[in-house]
Amino acid sequence: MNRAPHHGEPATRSAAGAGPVAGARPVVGARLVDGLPSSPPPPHWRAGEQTLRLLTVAVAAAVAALLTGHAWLLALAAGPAVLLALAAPGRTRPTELSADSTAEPRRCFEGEPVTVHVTVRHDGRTGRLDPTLALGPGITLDALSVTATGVDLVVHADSWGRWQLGVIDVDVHDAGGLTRRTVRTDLGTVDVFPVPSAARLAPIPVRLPERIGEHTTAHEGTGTEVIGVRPHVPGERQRRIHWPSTTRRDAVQINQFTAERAADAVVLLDTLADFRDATTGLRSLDETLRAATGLTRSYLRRHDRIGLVAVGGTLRWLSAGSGDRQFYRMVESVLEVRQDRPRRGAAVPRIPLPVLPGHALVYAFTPLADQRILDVLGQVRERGNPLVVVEVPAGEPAARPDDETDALALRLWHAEREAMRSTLRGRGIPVARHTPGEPLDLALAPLLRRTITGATR
Amino acid sequence: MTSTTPAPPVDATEATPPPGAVRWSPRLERAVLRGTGAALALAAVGLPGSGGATDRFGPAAAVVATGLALWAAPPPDDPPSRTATWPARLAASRTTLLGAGSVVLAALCEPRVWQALAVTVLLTAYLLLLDAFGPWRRTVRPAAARAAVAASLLVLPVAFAPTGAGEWSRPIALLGVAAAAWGVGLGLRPSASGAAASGAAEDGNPEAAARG
Repeated sequence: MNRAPHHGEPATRSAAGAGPVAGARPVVGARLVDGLPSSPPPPHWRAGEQTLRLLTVAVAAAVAALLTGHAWLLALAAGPAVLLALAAPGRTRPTELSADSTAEPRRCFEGEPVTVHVTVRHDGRTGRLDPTLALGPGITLDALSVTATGVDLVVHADSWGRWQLGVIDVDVHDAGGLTRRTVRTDLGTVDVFPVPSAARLAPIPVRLPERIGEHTTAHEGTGTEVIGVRPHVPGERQRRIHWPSTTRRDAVQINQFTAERAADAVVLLDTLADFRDATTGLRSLDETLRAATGLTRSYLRRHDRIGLVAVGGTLRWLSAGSGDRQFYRMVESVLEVRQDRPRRGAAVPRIPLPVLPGHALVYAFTPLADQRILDVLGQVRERGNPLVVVEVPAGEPAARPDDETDALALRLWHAEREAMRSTLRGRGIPVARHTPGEPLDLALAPLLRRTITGATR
Repeated sequence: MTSTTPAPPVDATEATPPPGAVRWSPRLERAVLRGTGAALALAAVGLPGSGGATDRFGPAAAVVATGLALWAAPPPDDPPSRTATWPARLAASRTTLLGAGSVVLAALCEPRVWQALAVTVLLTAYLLLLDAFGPWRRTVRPAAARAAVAASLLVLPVAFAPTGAGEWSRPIALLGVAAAAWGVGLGLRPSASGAAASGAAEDGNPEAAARG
């Protein structure tokens, strides 16, 4: 599954107004500007480049003729003046101009193309359209084409999040190309879902809730995996008789099966900071959620319940649930964590009680870059929940090769992270190191060889 | 981990060119513009003895003017931005400066008829070629081009006609120029009712168009 469900018809936004935006970076047929415009475009018709050129030449020639007394210079003014007069739109210039945009899809995965159609509505006759595009942060323009009735764009977002697509100003020229007016329309927002890391493993804690599921436990139950034989007790089903043992022991032996239980898991996202790796350019927040969604899918495939809590900025949490929709609910609940940067204070939030079901296995995805995450993990440990820390290393500073100060700083940086790892391991918390780009299973596989227990309350 | 391929360059050239737009190779278009611009500058500087820039500043004026014209004649690929500095804005408007500069240089001359004719034709041709070969390839209507050339050529014989100029000539010329400017301005003035009528006609509502 690689596409988010699309709900309903494509959203439509419209606006009317106008004006070119400062800081233009020109492309063929369109301009790209950095940053969204802060001031509205001028609402009236303005002279175009051709008009200014013809007017300048005509006025210069007429003034020169009057100043110098050379009547022949009026011939130089006559040509541009006639061109101006004949290109005048007169009665065909539009009086009503507006633009609206539709984007499809509004929900997609990282890197998927989003097609935006901008339609210019008007009365009267118009000439060419000259778009100026201010893309939102995180949005990349793939293609742009100008048609007779509007502008078609193809954009994509490289990272997950709720992104503003941007704003487009379309300069609408009159039929003669002499004057232009700008209409502006907001392209709206798009929800970009992370592409989950590849993960198939779903480690389970020692204690599981009494719900039938797909995880084989060490206890006897009514599952499908045989764990031994025992003497027959009157009343048991004959089809469970283990005949080889019965023949050897000369007494009826019954197969013993394991119990199969569902697991509860909670993903704890460390959004206290967002570091950008100097060498790879990857951001810790991006990789954290990609890894977390990979694990979420792995559990949901086994019909387990999984919840989410994100610490850093606003505390966001979602109680444990199962089913495919839970994946999208979880991702949507954290799509706006990037906008929390101004609200990231020094205090560590208290995790509400309903967030962590009893004995739920908590996976903490963290770059181990902020000491406050230790306090959060301490809260989880106090509740007695089994805890696994998945370290997503990112943000390692780049050190110049021959700089001793840089080398020392890098050593300190490594030592600080190693100290945090040692602290966690000292508390009995396993730390799995997930390298971005590799399957999450490589990090989780060692957990299958050990028991994951919670702390005593 | 997402695998994102680098975004291809923006392709906005899919804009439908206006019907009738001239489509030559970009190199040829720029060469034509450079040639016309250089010829215009040379003609505006004037021959020795015409009292133009060549006589006043020496032959170097012709060389400098031609060099500047070769640079300024093709329109810039980048449209001017509002944050650009004044030199950058002037560079972006260099085609306008070339046209106006040629007029100023030509005003220094006392040209013969054929010289004035050359400057007039070259200036009109340069302005028309700019529209045809500019970044937006605006359609140049043959009728408009013919009318512009005809208007220029009509003024020339009158300007060189042997009439006695008196003190009243300049005020009358000023009145004539003002009348022409008023006429052009009247043509450029928008008409709201006309636009509504045109829009109604385009929407396929002839009754509304007739009412407008």
